[in-house]
Amino acid sequence: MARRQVLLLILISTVPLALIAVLGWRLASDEESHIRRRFQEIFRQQLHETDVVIATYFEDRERELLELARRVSLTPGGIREQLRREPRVEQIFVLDAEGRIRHPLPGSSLNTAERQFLVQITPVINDRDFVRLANAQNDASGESSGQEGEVQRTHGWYALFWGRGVNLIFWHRRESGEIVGVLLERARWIADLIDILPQTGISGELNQLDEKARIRLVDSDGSVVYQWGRYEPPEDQLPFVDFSISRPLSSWRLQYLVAESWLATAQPGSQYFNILAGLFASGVALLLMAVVFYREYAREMAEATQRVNFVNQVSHELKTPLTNIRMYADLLERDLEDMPPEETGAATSRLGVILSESQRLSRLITNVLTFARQQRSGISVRRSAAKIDDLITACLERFAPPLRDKQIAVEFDAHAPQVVLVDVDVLEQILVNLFSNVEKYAAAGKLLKIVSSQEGDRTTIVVEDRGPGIPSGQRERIFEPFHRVSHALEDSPGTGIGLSIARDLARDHGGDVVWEAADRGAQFRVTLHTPRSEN
Amino acid sequence: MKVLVAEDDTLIRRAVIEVLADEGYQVLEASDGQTALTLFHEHRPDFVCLDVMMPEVNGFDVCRKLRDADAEVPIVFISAKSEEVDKVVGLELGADDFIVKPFGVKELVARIRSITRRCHRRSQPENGGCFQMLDLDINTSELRGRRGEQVIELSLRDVRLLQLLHDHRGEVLDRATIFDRVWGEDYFPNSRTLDQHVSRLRKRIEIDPNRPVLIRTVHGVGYRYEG
Repeated sequence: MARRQVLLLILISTVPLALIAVLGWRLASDEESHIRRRFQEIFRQQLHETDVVIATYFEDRERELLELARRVSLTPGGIREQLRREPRVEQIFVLDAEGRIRHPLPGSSLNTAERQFLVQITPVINDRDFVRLANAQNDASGESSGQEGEVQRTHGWYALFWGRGVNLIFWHRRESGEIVGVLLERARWIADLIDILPQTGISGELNQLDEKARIRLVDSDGSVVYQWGRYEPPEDQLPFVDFSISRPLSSWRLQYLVAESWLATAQPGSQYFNILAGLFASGVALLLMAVVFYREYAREMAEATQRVNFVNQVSHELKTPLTNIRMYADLLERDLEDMPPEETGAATSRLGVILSESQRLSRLITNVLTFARQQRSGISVRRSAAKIDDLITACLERFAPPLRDKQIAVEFDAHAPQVVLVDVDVLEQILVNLFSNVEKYAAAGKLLKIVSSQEGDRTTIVVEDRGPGIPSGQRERIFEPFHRVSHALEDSPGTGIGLSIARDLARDHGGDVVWEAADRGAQFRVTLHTPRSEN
Repeated sequence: MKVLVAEDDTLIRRAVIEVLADEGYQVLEASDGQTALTLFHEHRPDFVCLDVMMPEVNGFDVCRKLRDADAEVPIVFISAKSEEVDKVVGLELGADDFIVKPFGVKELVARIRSITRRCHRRSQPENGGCFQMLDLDINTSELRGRRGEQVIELSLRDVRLLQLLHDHRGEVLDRATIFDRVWGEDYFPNSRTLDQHVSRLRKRIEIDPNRPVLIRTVHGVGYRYEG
């Protein structure tokens, strides 16, 4: 099998497989990403619902604390009394309109908790954070004073980091200008949050998720504050969805962790298996097809080779009897020439038929063998010194009897007298095929005209006749093996390989055979590469 | 000239021998390679025609052995094998030509004459052996006659016959002498053979074969060239 055909076979087998694999993989990969994104959306929605619960808690606290900040007496006694009554509140501080601390006032009689608080809050107060917040323009988290233009916040949340993490301060600016800050009891609001968050189990649209998922409430340090869901993730597992909680706990996060094994089953991971199975099946089918194709091809090639060898062998075997027929017919012709015509009778013309037909058979065998050789291994040209015009003359002499019988006149316009290097056998076979076509198909034109010429290293021989010519649709097809012009089929012999062989031989000889337009009949131009002979 | 023909097909061998004998060669025949080698060493022919596929020793092997014995003797292969490789092998072994079956008498004659000319050129490099019979120039080594632009192909026997007549210009040469000198001593004379040969030759060299001027018939005796 030729390398090109093997390559073609491999390409036919592998390219569709590769395409199916790539497209299938991409499809599955896209589908996987899509499904992951959908899960993430579902889980994010769950986290958002949890966040709403947390936000609602702080909205409730905000309302309570605003009320407290509005009505609390700003005296130390009043404040301390308020603290005693409000277990959710750890400390209260008061700033005057300029942001100076009024309670717990440094230097006054303070209890331990107030002193500690003062230490923590002083830097923030010195930085005038609350004044800035109170003077800042309104946004979604605070309420405005109701005036247009210079809209200022009247209350809001402030996250203060100390001790074990974030501490929440609610602040309110009274109309008189004082700012009242309320520090929430950390342990209490965390306990409240835990209380309102699910105790255990993760409900949702997806079955059995509780076993395979966990939701974590994570503080600003990344420590888990609370978690639910029975899934125990590995330490290094990254959250499937990471969600920032709304203010005031915006530094905290809700994280959704899902077991990869659950994700794998929930996802259409089987698609990969399906693709692989499909690929495998397609591969096996293609492989089988390739094997069948190869075996069929090899069988056909073997049969074709066998046929060619058979034809070759038969043609060779025919050569010896044919040589005898030709030789003895020639000798008989010679004997008849020596006899008076009245004694030979019709023998001479009958012998002419034998000679002519045996020559036709010789040409046929030569063509068949040349064709078989071209198919098998190609022709190599062996040049020797000769005159083209002499070769044409010799060939015409050999063709004289059948041409004479069909009353075809021969005109030879000889202009190729130089001694050149040419493969005599190749030229002879080209000419014989062209002359033979004139004899077989263009006898009605009664003319065979040959014009030879030479220019540089090229020899041109034009062979024309006055026969029916070549139909316009068949002028290239006539050079295809086994093609025959339809109108010649009924009554003319031939195999349809003559012109194909002539063209191939001419091309092997560095030239070509082409059909040329002519006023009447058919005209063929033979060109050959014929270097000058140095001898 | 002696020619050795080695061909296992009897019919082809006979036909080739007949053609060569008619051309004027003394022919040695062998039906296998071994006989061909024996005959070659015994008779030392001027050239050899060898079939490729022969029993005992094939043509290529015979050629190789002949070349070992005689580097000069022309060798022509006659074969049904027209494959390029066979031709190349044959020619590389030192063959001078390759006649591919099927062939006719004319092709065989043309090739044989071509080889003979080469033999003559080798033995007569100075192009010797030219003579003139009226308006016909005859070149014995070229085996050709020329009348003006016309070139006439001649056989070895034709040339010998014309040479004999030319050398005995004005004399009547009887049949026995002609047979003896042109056909050779071994040839069994047949009056029709000579007449037929002369008749065929006249058709080629005489301007009017019915009124011959180069080879005139002397009835009851033989032939004469008057010059």
